[in-house]
Amino acid sequence: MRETNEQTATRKRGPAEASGGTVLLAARGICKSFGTRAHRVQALRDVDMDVREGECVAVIGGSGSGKTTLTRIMFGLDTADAGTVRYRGGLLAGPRSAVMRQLRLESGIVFQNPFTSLDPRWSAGRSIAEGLVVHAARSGRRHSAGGGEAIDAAVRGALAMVGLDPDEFIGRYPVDMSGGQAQRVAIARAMVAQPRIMLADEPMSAVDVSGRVQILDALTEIRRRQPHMAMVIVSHDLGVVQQLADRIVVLHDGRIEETGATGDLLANPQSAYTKQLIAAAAW
Amino acid sequence: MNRTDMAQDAMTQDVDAATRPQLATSGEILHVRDLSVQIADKTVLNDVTLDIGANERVGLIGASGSGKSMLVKAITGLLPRAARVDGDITMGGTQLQAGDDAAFAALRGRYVGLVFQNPGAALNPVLSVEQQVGLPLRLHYDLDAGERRDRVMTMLERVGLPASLAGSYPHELSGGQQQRAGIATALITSPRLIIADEPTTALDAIVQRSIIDLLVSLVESAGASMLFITHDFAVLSRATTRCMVIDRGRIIETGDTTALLRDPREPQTRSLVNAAKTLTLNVNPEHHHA
Repeated sequence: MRETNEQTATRKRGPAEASGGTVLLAARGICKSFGTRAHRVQALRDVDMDVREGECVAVIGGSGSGKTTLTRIMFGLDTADAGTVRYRGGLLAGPRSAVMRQLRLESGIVFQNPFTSLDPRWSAGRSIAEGLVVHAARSGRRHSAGGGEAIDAAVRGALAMVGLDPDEFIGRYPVDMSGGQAQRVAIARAMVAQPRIMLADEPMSAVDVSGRVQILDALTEIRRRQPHMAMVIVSHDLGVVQQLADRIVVLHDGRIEETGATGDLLANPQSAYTKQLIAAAAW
Repeated sequence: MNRTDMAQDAMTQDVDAATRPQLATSGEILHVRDLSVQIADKTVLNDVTLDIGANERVGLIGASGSGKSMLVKAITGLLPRAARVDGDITMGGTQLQAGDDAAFAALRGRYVGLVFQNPGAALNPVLSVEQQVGLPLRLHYDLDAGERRDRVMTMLERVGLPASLAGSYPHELSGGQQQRAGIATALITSPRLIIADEPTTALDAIVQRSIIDLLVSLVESAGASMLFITHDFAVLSRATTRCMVIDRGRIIETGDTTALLRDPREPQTRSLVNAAKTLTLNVNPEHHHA
């Protein structure tokens, strides 16, 4: 059996991150390029990555390193030129495949800019509830006769989990929120259906320091309350990664540069690029 | 000849005296007195008073919505028409009246250079790098095309952009290259004041560091002053020597950057500093130099 790239890199760092729960999401040999035939940019080169139940994996790297492309492919938002993605052992084989439907039902995604990912004409309550309604319909479950009340309770619970007062925010529109508040509403929307796995793609880059702390607190609380949920966070904010992630995957020029347990990798980076990344963030 | 004189001499070589419009000379680069701005009955700036002296690099920090960008817009005459402005702004010895678009336009790009947050959006998508960087020279100085090109190519070299990118358009550049083009555009006329409004927010840590170092070294070598807006305190301490804290449109604290970050007086400043500390990577950077 072929040894994966991630295993190769991991072995150099020791066995700490190799152990853990069941693999939920597994990417193997992912390649992706963009552009025209004359100007081809190779975004990902034969990348392998696993995400296990209950762990938080941070994908870090410079702009253009392939972080967002890799995670979009792993969560079925984009397709690879080559390679495979498996969710709970099943192959993601196109947008209509059963495995893709299962991944969509069981995953929550938080995008970079809450003001473009939230519908400006919908209140926070409606945005959060929509995910719940869609998930219930697709999974064949229907809320009972008191469905409206059940949805309302779930929405309020999700708002409270991200540190927002439900009474204050359930009817509020994005235009009346700060960046940190809007992103926490987006996190509540991703969390309301209690996903098995969550992707947060640069969730703090569009907000100020106070908002970043609020989002960090919300994500920390989510991890505490839902210890079995897996989380993938794309970030170049290493201070946040240090506090949130169990494991770090460093991408550089479309390849996995290094991977390891968070504390170990930040204290003893092996590659020159990772050292440079940490030195730049630590000033 | 002292350092400032040498820098001034270098500036004069960049845009020679014959083509430089006359400006009043003064040790103070920017005076703002009792500046208040209201938009739709909302007070966005409240009694702001500040000075920036020659060769000073001053930071302006505050939470989102505190008035940082509004202050920049007020100083550079870019407020919306509906804004009601009270107070005095004096730049380069010229007292500016709100609504006097011609006076502000005469200073923008010449006396004051602007570096914006998102270079991808700030650069004109239909202008090549050479056209973009040369635009302030075209607008403010009477140079022939050859002379303008020479100055642009010199500036591209200074900001670390290869000459081969002169004909490239913004979408063909990386984020870091775009911001280098933005810095070149801001500095091409050797302005006395650079206003940088969160210029590295959209960039990764490695590029961010190189852009800050570049900006500081170019501002220093030109003998210019800088107003640096940020909510990244690591960037603040690297780029500035003095800083001001703005909260709900009012300057609430000002002081030496290092001292202010170490010992903030006002509760709002303490809250910002504590938040920044929470997000700071806790490793020894000495161990990580490649």
